[in-house]
Amino acid sequence: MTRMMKRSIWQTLLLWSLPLAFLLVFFYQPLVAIFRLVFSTQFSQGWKLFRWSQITKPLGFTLYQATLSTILTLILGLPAAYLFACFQFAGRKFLRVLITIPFILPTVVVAAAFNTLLGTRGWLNLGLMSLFNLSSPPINMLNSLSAILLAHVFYNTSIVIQMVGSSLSRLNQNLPSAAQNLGASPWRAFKEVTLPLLMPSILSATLMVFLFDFSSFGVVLMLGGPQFSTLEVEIYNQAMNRFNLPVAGLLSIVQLAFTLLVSVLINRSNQPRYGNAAIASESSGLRIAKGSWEKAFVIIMVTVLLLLMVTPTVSLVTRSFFSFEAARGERGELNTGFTLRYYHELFENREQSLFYVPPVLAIRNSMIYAGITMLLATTLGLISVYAIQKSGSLSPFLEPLFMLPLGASAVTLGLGFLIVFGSSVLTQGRFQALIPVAHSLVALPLVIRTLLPALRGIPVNLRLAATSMGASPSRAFREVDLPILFRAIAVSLLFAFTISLGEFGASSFLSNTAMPTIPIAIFRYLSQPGALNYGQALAMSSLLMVVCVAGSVIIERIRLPGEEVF
Amino acid sequence: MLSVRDIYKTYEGAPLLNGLSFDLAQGEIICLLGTSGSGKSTLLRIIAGLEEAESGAVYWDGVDLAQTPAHKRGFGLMFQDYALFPHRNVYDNIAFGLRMQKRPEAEIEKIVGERLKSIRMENFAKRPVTELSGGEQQRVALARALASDPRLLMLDEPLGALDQGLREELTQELRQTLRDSHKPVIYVTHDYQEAFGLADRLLILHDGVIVQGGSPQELFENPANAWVAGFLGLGNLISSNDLPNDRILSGQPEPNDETVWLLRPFDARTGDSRADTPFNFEGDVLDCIYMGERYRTKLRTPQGIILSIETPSLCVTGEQIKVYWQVEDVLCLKS
Repeated sequence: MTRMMKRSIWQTLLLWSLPLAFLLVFFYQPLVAIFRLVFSTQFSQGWKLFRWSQITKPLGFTLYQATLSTILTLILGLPAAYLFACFQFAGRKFLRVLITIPFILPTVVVAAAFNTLLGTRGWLNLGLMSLFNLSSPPINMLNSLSAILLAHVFYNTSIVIQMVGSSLSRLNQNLPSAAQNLGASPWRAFKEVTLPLLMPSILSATLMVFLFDFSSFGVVLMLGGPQFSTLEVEIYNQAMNRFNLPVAGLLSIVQLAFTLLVSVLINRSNQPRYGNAAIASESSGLRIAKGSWEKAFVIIMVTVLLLLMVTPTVSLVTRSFFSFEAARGERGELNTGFTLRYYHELFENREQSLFYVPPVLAIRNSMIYAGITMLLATTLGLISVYAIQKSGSLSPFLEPLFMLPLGASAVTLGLGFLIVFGSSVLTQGRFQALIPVAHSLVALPLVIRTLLPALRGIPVNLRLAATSMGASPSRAFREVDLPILFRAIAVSLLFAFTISLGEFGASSFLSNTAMPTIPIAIFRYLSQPGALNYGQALAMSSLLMVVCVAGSVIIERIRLPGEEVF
Repeated sequence: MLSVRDIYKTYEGAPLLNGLSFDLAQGEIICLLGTSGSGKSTLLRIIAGLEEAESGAVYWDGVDLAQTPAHKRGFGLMFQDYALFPHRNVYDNIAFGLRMQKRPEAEIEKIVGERLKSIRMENFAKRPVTELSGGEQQRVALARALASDPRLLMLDEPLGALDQGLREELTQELRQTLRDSHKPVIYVTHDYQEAFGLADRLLILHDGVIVQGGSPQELFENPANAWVAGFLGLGNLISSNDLPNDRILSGQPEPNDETVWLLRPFDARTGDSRADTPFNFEGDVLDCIYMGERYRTKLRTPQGIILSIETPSLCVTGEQIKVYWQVEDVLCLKS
């Protein structure tokens, strides 16, 4: 007996060693390196290397924009949650699906989408120009705080709709009815009963949205322009443009501290408060809007949601098929109208620009990175969940080790990689080879969250039965675990693949000028002049969006009901 | 007092309440009986103003309540799941209605104290309602409904969520509380025994209308049709085709396909068949259960009819016995 226990301890240790080694080398080492760099430099220099304003200014702006974004997201999201939880209207399901799309989009796609709507070459300006015969774009909404806020609302409203909407539709409707029966007006019943019971989920959603807004990188970098620096953008600027790694590191630490604080609060707010007492056995039915107030509410909400949540992506896709200006190098030929040219150009080797990289190369790179990420993250994830499963009572302490990468931003990860591996001879010139590693770290927590419930759902008896019928442990894994885990593994693979495909933060540190990923290429094309560059950026963004949407549709299809990663 | 007139309501396209009407007098306790899904809860919600009927009206002292919103009706409704507010403790749940009436806090404290005392839960004031047992929740829900002194009290299967032993205990307590309140009460249940024990008058809801109303005794002696007799478990329902002897009976309506005979178990007589009654049966004993003083015996006739009868002595399973009902004990019903 003791021998067997010893053996199982060794097995558990062996299982732990691989993912733990990976995390130690590629996550904790870079993290420690950031701390060491910051503290050794600052101490030796007597904290004179930076001005406090270099920290407080981006921190202040980050908090400011995150607060504003969160408030705006709630202003749209809460009524929208009410709309979807209570009312039946034509196209409800379709709109519900459309509205979840923004959340899964890579940041570059969002930036490109807003560019096609509000940018100088966007639909709004093109429309106004042709309407009033103007020679230059009348409005410039890009590079402004409002663009950042709009994009954040676009991104995160679906979190509020999802989290608050689900608890609203599961709320026992007898509770507000009982309040009315006891003499509370509908408004009073809402205030005294519905709202307090929804508060935990509203709080969770608020913190979640705040966290996403707080650590937003790509959106702020691409839509905010140079004058708006959040912590994340400032880390990038300090590291990549000013080569001031200690300040970048210090910003990273501040960022990490805030992220962890908010995460702890989210965890707290997620604790169920009233058990099942407030939950209806069946979700309450939807009703058709009655009376002018309700009808007006539904119409206004649907219109606003379509405008804010759907037009950007529609605008991106349509704009990628239309040409409105003479392309460079084809002077005189003004072809306005429908075109497939931008898509054709993705696969052509046209070398005119200094920084020119054929788009097809970026697509190839991204596919390779995503493929490696997919396999690496899922393999590590599988080993990790078995390790967590085996460690029994220790797992509550060990699980957070794997989940912590979720708290560190991709930009921090990129910075850490730069400090640890950037100057190493080993990686000289092959720095971008670390991209799949960084992507795997980003994907790993989600992969574990997908696999763990599936593994915990496998009855132990089943495995014992297989073993008692003479199956070796590996045979038992193949015959019992694998078929049951199959869906979860497929979901993990897809998750890792789409995450890698759209990842921007870490890639912006790691990718080589000559070897960009799709998001990096889009970022570069967008910031360059010329209709062709713009069109190619849009074409690539549209393709990336289609892949991500397709991926999440498949994930939704094969995922077992009741499993949610967020 | 309360008049409900021609209430019509559909559920998923099919009529649920189909022109339903009834009246309720001051201080009267009526039981609304019906199978689950018959629209009893919906009817209570319509009376309470929480749901709208598609047509029909609810009157109180002759005044149409169509324009009176739920919170101004002053009708207490106790929900089937009790609907206690999980974010409030016992005291605050009971005080909720009084606070909505903006009563002074001292008065609220007095009333809630009395209510807690009447349900023998004085020490539970600060307890979260989520920690109460089913029976305690039921008491708190009743106390909450009564605290704001409603002019009408409606209870939706108040004992439905409790187990059998507790139900019997609480039925007595509930009967006392309802009698003491002197309020008109609509009590909804699907359990006729519970209803018989509580109500002055019973209303039977079937196919969206009140098929019969009356005192327990009236219903018992004269069920309006075969469905009511079956629902109340009054006895064996035998269609005229199943009778071994189809002689026309004097004084009874002409039997046709729609006629059903009600043969009550305790009117059954064992022994040789008699010529003056067509209700003669012979069958094998399937089962015999001691019910206290008498036995409940199940018979199967050669035609496959199952009869339930009461016998003074134990019958042996498999034994063949003869049984008959006298004509004057048999009731002819429409199916």
